[in-house]
Amino acid sequence: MTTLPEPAPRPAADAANTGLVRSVLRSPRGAIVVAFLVVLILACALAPLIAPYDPLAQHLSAVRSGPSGRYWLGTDSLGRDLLSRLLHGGRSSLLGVLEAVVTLLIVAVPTGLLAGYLGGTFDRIAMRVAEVVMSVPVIIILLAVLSIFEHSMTSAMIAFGVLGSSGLMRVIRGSALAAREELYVTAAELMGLSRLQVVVRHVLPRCRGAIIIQASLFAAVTLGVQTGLTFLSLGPPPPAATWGGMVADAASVFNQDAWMLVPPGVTIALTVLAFGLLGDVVRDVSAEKYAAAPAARRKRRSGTPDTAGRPEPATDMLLSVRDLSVATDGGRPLRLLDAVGFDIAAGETVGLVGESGSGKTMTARAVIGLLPGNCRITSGQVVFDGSPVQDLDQRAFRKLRGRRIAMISQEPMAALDPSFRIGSLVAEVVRAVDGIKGKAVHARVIELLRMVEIPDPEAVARRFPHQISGGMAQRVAIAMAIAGRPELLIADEPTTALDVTVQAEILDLLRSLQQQNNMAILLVTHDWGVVADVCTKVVVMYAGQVVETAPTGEVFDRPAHPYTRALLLSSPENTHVGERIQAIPGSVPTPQRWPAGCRFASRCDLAQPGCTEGAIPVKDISEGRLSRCLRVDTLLGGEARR
Amino acid sequence: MKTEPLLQVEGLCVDYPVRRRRRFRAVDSVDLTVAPGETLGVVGESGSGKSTIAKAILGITPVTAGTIRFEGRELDPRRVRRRKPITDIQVVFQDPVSSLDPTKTVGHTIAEPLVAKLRREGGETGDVRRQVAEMLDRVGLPENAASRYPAQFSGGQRQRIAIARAFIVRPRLVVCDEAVSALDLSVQAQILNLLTDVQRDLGVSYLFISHDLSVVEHVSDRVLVLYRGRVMETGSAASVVQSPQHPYTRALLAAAPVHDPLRQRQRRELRASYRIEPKAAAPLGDSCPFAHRCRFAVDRCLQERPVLQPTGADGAVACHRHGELPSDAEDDVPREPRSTATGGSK
Ligand SMILES: Nc1ncnc2c1ncn2[C@@H]1O[C@H](COP(=O)(O)OP(=O)(O)OP(=O)(O)O)[C@@H](O)[C@H]1O
Ligand code: SF4
Ligand code: SF4
Ligand SMILES: [Mg+2]
Repeated sequence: MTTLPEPAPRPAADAANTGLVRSVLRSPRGAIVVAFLVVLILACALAPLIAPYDPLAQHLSAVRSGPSGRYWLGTDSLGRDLLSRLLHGGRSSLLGVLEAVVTLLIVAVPTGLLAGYLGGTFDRIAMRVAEVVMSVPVIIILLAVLSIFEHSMTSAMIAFGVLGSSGLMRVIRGSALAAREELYVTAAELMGLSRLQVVVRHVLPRCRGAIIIQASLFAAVTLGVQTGLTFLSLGPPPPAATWGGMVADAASVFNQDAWMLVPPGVTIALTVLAFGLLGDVVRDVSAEKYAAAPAARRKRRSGTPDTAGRPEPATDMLLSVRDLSVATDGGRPLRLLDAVGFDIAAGETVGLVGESGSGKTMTARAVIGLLPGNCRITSGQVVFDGSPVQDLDQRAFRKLRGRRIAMISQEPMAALDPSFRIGSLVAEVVRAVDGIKGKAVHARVIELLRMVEIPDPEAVARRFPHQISGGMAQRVAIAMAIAGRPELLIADEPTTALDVTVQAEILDLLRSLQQQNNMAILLVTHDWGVVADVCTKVVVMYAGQVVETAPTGEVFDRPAHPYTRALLLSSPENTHVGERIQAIPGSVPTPQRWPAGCRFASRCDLAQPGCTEGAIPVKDISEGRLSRCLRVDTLLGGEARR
Repeated sequence: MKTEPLLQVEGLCVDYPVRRRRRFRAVDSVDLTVAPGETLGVVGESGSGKSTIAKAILGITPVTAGTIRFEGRELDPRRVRRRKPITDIQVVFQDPVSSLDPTKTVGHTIAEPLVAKLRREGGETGDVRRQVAEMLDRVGLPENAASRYPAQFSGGQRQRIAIARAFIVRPRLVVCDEAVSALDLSVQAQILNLLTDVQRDLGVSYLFISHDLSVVEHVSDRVLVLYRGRVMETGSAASVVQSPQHPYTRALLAAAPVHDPLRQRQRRELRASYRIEPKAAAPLGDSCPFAHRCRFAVDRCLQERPVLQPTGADGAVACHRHGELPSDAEDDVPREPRSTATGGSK
C-alpha cells in the first residue's frame, strides 16, 4: 500500500498571529470577554431576524410593564418592547464603534509605522500634526461635525476616529523606532526586502499587541461617547432605537419606573467593560508571549546535598563558604547552587571561573547578601572573619556591605546615576561609610579618585557619568567600592565589558590596591587569561557546583577535573593554528535538567558507568586541591606519565 | 600570479555627523582586500571603526569617499536603500538576541532571504523547505527547530541560526562582526569550528571582525590592525601576532593576558615597559593617531601622518620609526600550546 506524502505543515508565516488569538482564548478572562462580545455582536447584527417585535411597534396595552413572558425585558412608556429596541439600538452603537476603530487604524497604523521607520521630514510633519490634533477639544469638533452633517452618526464617529488616532500613532511610531535599531531589521534590509516588506513583516508584528490594546480601549471610550451623543439626541432622530436614546427615555420617567434604565444601562456598562478587559487580556498575554517556553520540569530528585571536602568552615580564613545551597522560592523550588564551598584568606585573590549559568554570580551575591528576591539560601554556611553571616537580615548586612565587603560589577555605568556629578556620587558613599562632613568629604573624594589613578581628579569629579569612558567609569566604581576600606572586594566580571588595553590597566590597578591595603578579592570571570594574571587560587564551577579548587600555578598544567581541562582546551589560544579547536560537545545542563550523577558526564571523555550512578563526592587531592571527579587519579596519573 | 581579489576596498572614508554640523571621521583612508576563500581578520579597540567598515561593505552606511569593488565590479554604496542588494555578501552579527526576529519561527527566518532572492530572480520557491532542513542540519540544529521560536534557543544555538540564515543564499563573502564575542568559551569553540567547516565545504571568504586577538589569530589568514579609523599594520596572521611591528599592535598584544601565569608575568612586565603617562589624545589630522600613547613617539610623529610602508612578505606598517624600534622581547618565552592543552585522553 502506498502512503501519500504528508501535506507540508503550514508555513510558519502566520503562526505568531494565530498564536496570539489562541492564547487570548485560552485565558479564562479572555474567553469570557470574547464570548460576550461575539454573542452581543451577533445578536445585534441579527436583530431584524431574532428580535421578538418591531422596535417601533407600540403595544399600548402594556405600557411600562416589567419583565414578563411576553416582553422579556419589559416595555417603555410607549409600550415598545425593550429587548427589541436594545438589539436594534445596538446595531447603530456597535456600528459607530466599528467605524471609529477602523478609522483609527487606517489613520494611525500607516502614519505611525512610516513616521517611526522613515524618520526625517515625514516623521516631523506627522508628529507636529499629531500634537495639533491632540490639543483640539474633541467635543466641540464632534458637535461641529454633527451640525454640518445633521444626525449623521457615521461622520461623527469617523471624526472621532481621526481625532483619537494621534495617541495610537505615537505608540506605533515608538515601537517602529525601536524596531529600526534591531539587527534583524537590518538583516532583512540586507536581504533585499523592500521597505514596505520590512515594515509589514518585521516591524508591524512587534506593534500588534500595542495596536490591539489601544484599539480595544479606544472602542470602550467610543461607546461611551456614542451613547452620550445619542442621549443628547444628536444621533439618529427619535423614534429610531439607540442605546443613548433608551437611557434618555428611561431618565425622563425614572421617578415612576426605575426598571426601564436597567436593560440599556447594564448592557452599556458590560460592553464598555468588555472592551476594556479585552485590552487588558491582550496586554498580559503578549507580555508572556515570545518569552522562552518554560522548560519541561523534571521531578525533583530528593538527593541529600553531598558534603564538601572539609565540612566545617575554616576559622583562620577571611571568608569561608561551606555547603552553600541556594534555591528559588515557591511550590516547586529549583536548586540553583548545590553545596558550594571555598575559602579566601586575607589579601588573597581567588578566581571564580565557569561558563554562563554555572552559578558564579549567584555565589557572589549569596556571599554579600544580595540574592534576587525569589531566591534564598536553603542550607550551608558563609563565615566572614569568624562569624556566620548567612542568616543576617538586610539591616545587619548593610553594616557589613560597603564597609567590610564591597562589590563592583560588569557594567560600571549602571552603578553610576546619570543625573549626578562623579564627585557627588563618590561623596555620597564617603559620607555614608566614613561619617565625615564638610570639606573633609571633598578631600577624601579627591584622594580616592587619585588612588584609582584617575588623571586630574578635580576635573573628573565635576563631570557627569556620560562624559567619561567605560574604563574611567570602572575606576570610579572601584573608588566607590574601596571608600569603606573593605577587607574583601567582590568583583563580578569587572573587565568583561572593557577593551583589552583598558582591562590590563584595571587589573593592574586592582593588584596594586590589593597590595597597598591587604584586601582580598573574589574575582568572578570566564577568562583564563585574567585568572593567570591576577589570581592566586581558582575555584571552577559547573552547573551549580564547585568541581575543582586549585592554586593558579597548577591548574593550567595539571587540571584535576575533566571539565577544567576541556574548558582550557576549547580556547583558541591553546590550539595550534590550523587545527580544529577541541570544543566540548553539547551544552551546560539547565538547573531543571541536572542529572543525579556527575553533571558533566554527558560531555566528559573519561566518563564511565559509575559516573552516572549517584552524586559525586569532592575529593581532597593534595594541599589546597579539590576535585569532584571519580576518575581524577586516571586524569592526573595519565598526565604524569606523559 | 596573485588571484583576483574577491573584495577590494580602496581609500574608504566614512564620516558620521556630530553636534553642531561637524563631522567625525570614523574610518579614514582604509585599503583592504579579501581573496576568494580567504579570511581577513580585523582587530582594534572599541570605537576604532571595525563595525563601520563592515557597514560600509554591506552598504548600510553612507560612504564619504573611496571605492568598494566586489568581483571586480564597483558596488553602489547606497544599493540597500535602492533595493539592489548583493546576496553574495552576507553578515553574522554579534548579538544573538537582537539579530533574530522574535515573532518569526526559525524556519521562516532562515527561509526569508532565500525566498526573497528567488522571487527577485523569478525562480521557483518549491525547494525552500528542503534547503532549510539541509542548512539546519549543516549548522547542527535538529530538524524540528524550524517550527520553533528564537526565544527557545540558547545564545550558541541562536548564533547557529544566524549562520544558517547567512549561508542559505550561498554567499561568496560573509562579514562576521564580533560573531563569537558574546558566547561562552566552549560555545565559542563550537561556533568557530562551525565557521571553519562551512568555509571549507562552501569555499566562502570571511571578513572576521573581533577584539579578541587569539580568536582572530586562529581563524584568519591575514590581519588588519585598526586604531582610530586608520590602518596601523597589516600582514599574515602569524607574523602580526608573533612579531608585531607597530607600537600599537605591540601594546594590544601585551595587554591580552595569556593562559599561563609565568608567561603572563613576563607579558605584564613587557606591558609595564610600554606604559607612559597618559596624555590627552590629539585631534586626528597630520599626526600619528597613536602618538599620545606611544613610548617611541618623536616630534615628527605629531607633525606628519605616517603612511603604510611594506615590512616583509605582504605586511605593511604605518609608523615613522619603523625599523628603528627594538624587537619585541616576548620571544624569550616559548609560545607553544602547553602539553596539557594538546593531548586529549584516549
Ligand atoms: N551612527 C553613528 N553616529 C555617530 N557616531 C558613530 C555612529 N556609529 C559609530 N559612531 C562612532 O564611530 C566610531 C567607530 O565606530 P564603530 O562602531 O565602527 O567601532 P568598532 O570598532 O566597531 O567598536 P566596537 O568594538 O565597540 O564595536 C566610534 O567612535 C563611534 O562612536
Ligand atoms: S566523575 Fe566521571 S563523568 Fe564526571 S567528570 Fe569525572 S570522569 Fe567525567
Ligand atoms: S609614528 Fe611615532 S607615535 Fe606613531 S606609532 Fe610610530 S613611533 Fe609611535
Ligand atoms: Mg563593533
